[in-house]
Amino acid sequence: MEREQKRLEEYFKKYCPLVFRVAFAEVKSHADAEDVLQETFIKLLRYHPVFESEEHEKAWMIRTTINLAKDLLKSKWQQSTVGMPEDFHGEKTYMKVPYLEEDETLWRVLALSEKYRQPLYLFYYEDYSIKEIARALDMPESTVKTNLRRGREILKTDLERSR
Amino acid sequence: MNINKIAQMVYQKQAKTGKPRENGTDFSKDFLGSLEEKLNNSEAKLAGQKGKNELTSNAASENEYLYGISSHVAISSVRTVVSKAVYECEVKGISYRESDYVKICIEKGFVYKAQVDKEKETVYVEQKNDSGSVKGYEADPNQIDEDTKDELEEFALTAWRKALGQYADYVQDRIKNGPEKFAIGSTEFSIKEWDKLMEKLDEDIDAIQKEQEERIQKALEEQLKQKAEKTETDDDESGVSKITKKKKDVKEEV
Repeated sequence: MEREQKRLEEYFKKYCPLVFRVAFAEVKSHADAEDVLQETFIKLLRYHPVFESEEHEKAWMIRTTINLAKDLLKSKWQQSTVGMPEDFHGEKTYMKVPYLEEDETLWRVLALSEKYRQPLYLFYYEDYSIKEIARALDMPESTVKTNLRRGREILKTDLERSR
Repeated sequence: MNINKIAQMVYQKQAKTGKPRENGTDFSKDFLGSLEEKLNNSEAKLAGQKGKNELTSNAASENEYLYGISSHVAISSVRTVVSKAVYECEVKGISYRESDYVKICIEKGFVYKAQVDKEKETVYVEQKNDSGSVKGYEADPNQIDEDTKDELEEFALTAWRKALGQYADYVQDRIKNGPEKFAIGSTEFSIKEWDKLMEKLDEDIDAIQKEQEERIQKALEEQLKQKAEKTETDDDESGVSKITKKKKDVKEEV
């Protein structure tokens, strides 16, 4: 029991910031992101997955977080309520990407559709390689590359329009 | 030995034209010429830079006669020079955490990561492209022009200045506030002060141990001395009693 607790603590220390950021990127609310974070670690505790490598570990964390975030967004409560639009500006302060300067482009990336947002966010803001993204999102590497390229083009158009 | 495809093509071309080979010299010239052209073209593509690309190579060539075909096999180690201040190098695979400065260029489809080496005065720049390729460059910030238009050079220079700026801030802070101190109990120590304190403690402990050993040694010696004296006096006493006993005996005899 103690060993399990210690193991969970180690995972929590290692992945908590990453899981929170990925959850926030999906749900855009710090309270919901915290719920998703909690659920992810409950799943870890409940199912005791065995990881082949650190890459597998990371991929599991991201996939579980994304799936739980999707479930939350699909839930009845989410569908029957709507947040205050001004709140999002306050929410931005909760999203701190380490090692990078603050940039408005992040919010434009998060505003894209899931297909482009996820690979763009993981590639540029979490320093994942194409191979790791493919494993985490369970899609071929060629699809990841295509989505990165298309997402980049949409973003470029969007930025040019806003200028 | 790997023969470049060019050699094969040149040989086939020669064979079709029916030109005789004289000691393989025409063939060798053609082959070397084509090889140089191919290397120059491929390096131009890799560098992706306007203007001239200088190619520096340490080439070792070897004449080989194989089944009547003579060919030069050029073995070259090429270090691509991108500009006067930047050249391509082996990819180190650094993470954001290990980088001193990171720049995301989503519109252009790549990320730059920089690692500054203050001792060697170089900046290692890694370019991660969304096509999946990763390239490593080493830049000499002292050779980069202030008003450079090249993105990579600009990035390397910014990273270098940032690192220098951070170092200058650190030095300024050290001059102003002294070395960084850590709270230990109710007091504060810097690393140097702590090491000094530990050294002094070790010396004191050694001195105390030595003193104790000397004291114990002295005490033991005294004990032995006392024992030795005691046995002497016992012997003396027993010796005197023997003499008196003898005297008595003699008296009695008398």
